[in-house]
Amino acid sequence: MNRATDNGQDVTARLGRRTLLKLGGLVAVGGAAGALLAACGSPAAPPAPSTPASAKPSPASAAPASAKPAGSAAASPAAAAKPSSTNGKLVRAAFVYLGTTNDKGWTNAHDDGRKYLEQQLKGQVETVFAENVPEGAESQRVFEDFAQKGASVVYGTSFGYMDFMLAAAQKYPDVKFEHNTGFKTLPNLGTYGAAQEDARYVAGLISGKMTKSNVLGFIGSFPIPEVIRDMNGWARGVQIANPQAKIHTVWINSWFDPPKETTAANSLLDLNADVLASVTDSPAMAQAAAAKKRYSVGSDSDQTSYAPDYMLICPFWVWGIHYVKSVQSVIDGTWKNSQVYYHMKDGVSSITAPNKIVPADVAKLAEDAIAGLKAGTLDIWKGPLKDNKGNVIVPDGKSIGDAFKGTPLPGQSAADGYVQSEQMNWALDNIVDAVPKP
Amino acid sequence: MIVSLERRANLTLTRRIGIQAGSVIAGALFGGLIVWLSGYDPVKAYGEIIGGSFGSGYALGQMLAASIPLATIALGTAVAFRVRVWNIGGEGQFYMGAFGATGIELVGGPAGWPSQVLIPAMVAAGFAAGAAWAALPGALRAYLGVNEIITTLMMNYIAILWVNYLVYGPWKDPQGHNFPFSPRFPDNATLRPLGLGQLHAGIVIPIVAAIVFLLLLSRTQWGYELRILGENPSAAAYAGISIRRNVMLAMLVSGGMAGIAGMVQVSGIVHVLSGQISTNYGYTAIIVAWLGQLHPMAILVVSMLFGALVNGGFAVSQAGIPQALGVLLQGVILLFALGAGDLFSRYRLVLGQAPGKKRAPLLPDDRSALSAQP
Repeated sequence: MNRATDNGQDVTARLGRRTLLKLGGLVAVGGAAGALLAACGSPAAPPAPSTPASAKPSPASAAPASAKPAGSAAASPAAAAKPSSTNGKLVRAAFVYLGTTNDKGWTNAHDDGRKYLEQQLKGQVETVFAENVPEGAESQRVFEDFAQKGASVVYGTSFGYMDFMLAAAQKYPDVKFEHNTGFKTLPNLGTYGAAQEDARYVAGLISGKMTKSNVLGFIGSFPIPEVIRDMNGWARGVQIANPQAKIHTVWINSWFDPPKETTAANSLLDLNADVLASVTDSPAMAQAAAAKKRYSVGSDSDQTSYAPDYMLICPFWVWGIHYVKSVQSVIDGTWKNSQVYYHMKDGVSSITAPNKIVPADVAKLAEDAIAGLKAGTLDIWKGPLKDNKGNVIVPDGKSIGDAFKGTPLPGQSAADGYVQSEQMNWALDNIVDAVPKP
Repeated sequence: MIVSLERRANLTLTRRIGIQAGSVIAGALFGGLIVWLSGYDPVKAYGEIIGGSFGSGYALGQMLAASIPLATIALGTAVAFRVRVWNIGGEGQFYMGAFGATGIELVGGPAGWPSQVLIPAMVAAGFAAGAAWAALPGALRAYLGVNEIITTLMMNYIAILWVNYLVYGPWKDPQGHNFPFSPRFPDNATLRPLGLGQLHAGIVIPIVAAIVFLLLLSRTQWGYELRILGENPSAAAYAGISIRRNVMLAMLVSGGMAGIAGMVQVSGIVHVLSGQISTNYGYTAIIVAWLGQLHPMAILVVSMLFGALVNGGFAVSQAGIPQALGVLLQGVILLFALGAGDLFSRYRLVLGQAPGKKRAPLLPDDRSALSAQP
């Protein structure tokens, strides 16, 4: 109430300064108003995209099984439309990461791939990346930013980016998008993944032989098919090597949360588990296990240095192989919205040599399995496979591909189609706990 | 020579804006120094931040889109703060609003309700859910004198866990491969994009709300009551103004606005319900409300600056500067704006002996230091 009078008799303010400040305020308000007007007004001014409705994919056709004919037919013209857009200048490849590039796990592996790409295609490619991008609206913002800033191809490296990538890809039909571990596609949106379950199986063989308590522990992030097949791959290896061993699981509902990963590891160690494995993004689990002198299996990047005396073996990714292929196809104008699934022989899904603490006969077991996987003579999903509720998933003499009822995409085996589909939502019968249900 | 702080008399608006702008610039300079010491180019960093929010129509759209939830929550928060009801539960009320809106969407979206019906219903549900979430601590405060700072804060966690329960359980997308998202909103449940980045039709909500609040506060008896209550509760009580009623109203309005913000975010930007729809909007909005001096129009401007900061964080990391430095820059600018800006809005530095007894003592009279003086 006494404000009005105070306003009038502000003795401290000097006139010149006041006018200046007033001016500043006016400019700020004017700028704001202008921004609002610009926002409400002409949508034609910026190089912004058309309404997404026109390019809307039906959700049904996004499922890998049924998307095949429509997807690949539409792809060729889209890819051919601007084959020479990159001639004469650097192709810009953008990477969107969930974690930090130094997480020593998942994101680190992708960033190594980015560096490898820069090295291999020197003079033809420039790379940009954004880290710590959450699986929400922010991710779509980042995808669109990169598309807007001239990226020719954008890689999204987390499952939860899927719908946001789909939305961004609809808005920028001239930019190519590739979603790691996803399953939805558009003419300009492909997916890429690799059979890490093969490497996990090898790790499982060693884990089964090395356990003394016959209790093992697995830390899962989100119970999606991609993670479940890694879990089952490892569990299958354990089962082959040691039919008596049982596996306990903890799901932490996060990709990258080292404190949570540590807590989960400790709870499994308290159950007397003496070998731990995980599908999470950091080496926290391995450190927790080593602190209690228990074994662990690493993941994503070579994490051996985090538990040098206790990490049995470490499956890891070599994404650079894919990135070079993919960017090369962008440069050549042959890029397609394929759903690539790599195997151990392709080098993308890889594994370290067994640690020196692993006895020679056990290491031999692993090395034989690796050789078999590379040669294609070993099928980790060969039946009989039962889930932990007593259902027969794969009968004797069959394999998981045979159980797949859909149509695999071109370049995919039926088993690839299976593991990329939503069908793997069960836990192998040596796993004690149920998979959280959809 | 003695340097002392001296309390200021009431400041004019222009002066206040000047001080705040000066602190932001000082913060930016200090942040730039840190970036430079870390071996990166501060000019490039700020170029990215500014270009990322003002450099093009697209950038403007992204900046405005980021400011919508902040402005909407902050406007409601300001109403509560004006009557000294410290509702810091904006985050939870935001989630509850998104929950309410999604509840309607799950019914009306797949059923194909026209968006002219569905969207208003979702806004109403968002408001109702947010207001209901705020009503509980509001009633506890009004009738039992329970400290609302604690209760609103605690209820944030409950709200977020509730939404998480839904998206991990009954509302999980059956086609979502077990990932904790609700089914994607169909077109009739989404706010229309305006063609500039992620900007969508929800931008009208904070603008309309700011105008309504401005009119309410300056032209109605309720606004008058709020002002009296804010400036002198005992005088207000003496004048027969019901404190309980006004505390409840302020909580309902602020909770409801946060709820609408939640609705606008899921319907306009995210298009799914998940446990990750907010990046601390509810907490940031408190800062926005304070920096905007609880004034509706100033809140709009400040929320745009914050939208630019949010945007800038991503822009910086895309320019090859570590994301952590982007976050650090935001923090430094905020610290200066809040710390220095607020301090020097209330006090001034005096060199030499502070003469005269006309000047107020250094120690603040807590009440007036905390109360809003729009």
